[in-house]
Amino acid sequence: MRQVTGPVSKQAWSPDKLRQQFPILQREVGGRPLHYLDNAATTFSPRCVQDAVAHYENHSRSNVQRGMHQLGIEATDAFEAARGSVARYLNAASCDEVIFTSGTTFGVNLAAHCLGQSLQSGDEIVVSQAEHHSNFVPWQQLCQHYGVRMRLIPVLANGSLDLSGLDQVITERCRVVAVSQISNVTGSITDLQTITRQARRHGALVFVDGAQAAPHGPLDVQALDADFYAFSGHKCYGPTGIGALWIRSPVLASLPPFLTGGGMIERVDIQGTRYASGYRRFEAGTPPVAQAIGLGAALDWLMTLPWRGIRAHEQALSRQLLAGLSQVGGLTLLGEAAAQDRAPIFSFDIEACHSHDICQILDGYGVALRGGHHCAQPLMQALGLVATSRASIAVFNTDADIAALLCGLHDAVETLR
Amino acid sequence: MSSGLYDGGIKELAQLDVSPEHLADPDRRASVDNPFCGDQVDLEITVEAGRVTALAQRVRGCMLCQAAANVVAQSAIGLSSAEIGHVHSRLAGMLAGDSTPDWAPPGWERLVLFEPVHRHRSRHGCVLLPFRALLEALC
Repeated sequence: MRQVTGPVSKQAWSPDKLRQQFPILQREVGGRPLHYLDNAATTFSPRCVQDAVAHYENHSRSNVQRGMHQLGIEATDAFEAARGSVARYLNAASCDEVIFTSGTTFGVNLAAHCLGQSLQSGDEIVVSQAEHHSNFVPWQQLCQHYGVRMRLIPVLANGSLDLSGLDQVITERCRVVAVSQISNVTGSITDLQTITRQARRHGALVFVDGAQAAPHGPLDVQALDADFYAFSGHKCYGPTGIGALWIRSPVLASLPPFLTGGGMIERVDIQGTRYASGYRRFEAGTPPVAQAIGLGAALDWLMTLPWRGIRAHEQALSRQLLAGLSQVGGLTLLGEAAAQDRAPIFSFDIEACHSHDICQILDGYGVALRGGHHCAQPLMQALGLVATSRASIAVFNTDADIAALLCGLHDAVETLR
Repeated sequence: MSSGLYDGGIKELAQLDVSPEHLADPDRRASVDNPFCGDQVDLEITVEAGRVTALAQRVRGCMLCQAAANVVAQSAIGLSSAEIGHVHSRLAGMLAGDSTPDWAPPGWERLVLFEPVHRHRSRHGCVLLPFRALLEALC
């Protein structure tokens, strides 16, 4: 995340006014107020995002790039403006570095597929054992397909990455390092600077899965010194089915296409095809126009928020949650113990209480949690777990959400033990 | 506030210790996962003339999965694949909401404890997982 500057308000920031922008927060679940704490999976979109999508659908719906009529021009303008919003949110050097995707998973697959063709026997790919399957399976498949070795950055007992032996894992054979900026399970924040430095020492490319970091404020991909950065719209208050992949310009220019078809060519004749340059080479077919416009609106909205105040608020909620969890007997929290050292994603295991049962009981309190392996089975295996319960905080959450969670959790433990 | 799922005997059923984790010399094994939540059942059986003669299982799952696994362990001995398949079918039907009175086959009456689960579609797989494991082992 970018450093936040600006004056410190004397009064703590509160989400009360911001919550009015989320129509879904008005609903109830089972006659109780909704306490939504599954934001790391999918979060809600504010009205401005819904309005932007509706405006396109109701006023300018048409195809982009090739329309010669007024609607096509308006749609193209809105679509490219959204690309600009992504570039500004990421602090990319240019809009040309931004590819619209269907989400982080697509971004990883695109990068893995395109990089695979340049790999040779003896090369190595490095991922961490804490990765989401989306940033694990594509690289695993790549290694199996090309006979390349996959190496793992191990995890500590709390699930955070163990970088103590990094120079033994990222070596001169390494071609790509793929890691998440924030774990979707532990909320641990990856020391990307150390990883990137080691990767650069050996000329390896760095892919960053930003799915969990992007929702927490504007980013600076140039400062990260990575080569790829992927994230999803549905975790960033935008629509589902949209995301973006940023690729540093020289790397992007060197990559072969992923999907082929319309929209990604310069010329096609019966002898062959000359591909378009830049991001267009990676956007075959009609793109998800409405979703991209919605994503642009979401990121524009995020860039207007007072992040210093929001982070203080998130930390206050995190401290409230951590204090409450510490009172639950037999509870093991994954990730760092202190609120200021982690992102507001909290996974925990409670002795003799399975996460599915916990989530079921919490649902009766109107509390939406996530239970299971969180698409991170290699991490679960390393920790000797099958599943955990996870609460994840967004900008609209309040202390009432945390209180409802803790109240329900005590009932769940009493019921299940 | 515990949604009714955990009342009426499910908890007690889940906490029974009715089967070992391994057999000394199993004829068949199966390992099944519920990809939705990561629950796992590793099952071993011995079979004679097409019928289950002994069963062991290692269940890493929720309370519903544990309870269903214990019913399987207690009731499946002596049954064939077709008979287990019939029970599975009746249970799946009840969960889907199309149960009739006395849907639980003789010897499997305790499955009525799972009737409240039919309102919770995301949990159906938890109850059915041990049956899937046994049917896979009998294939």
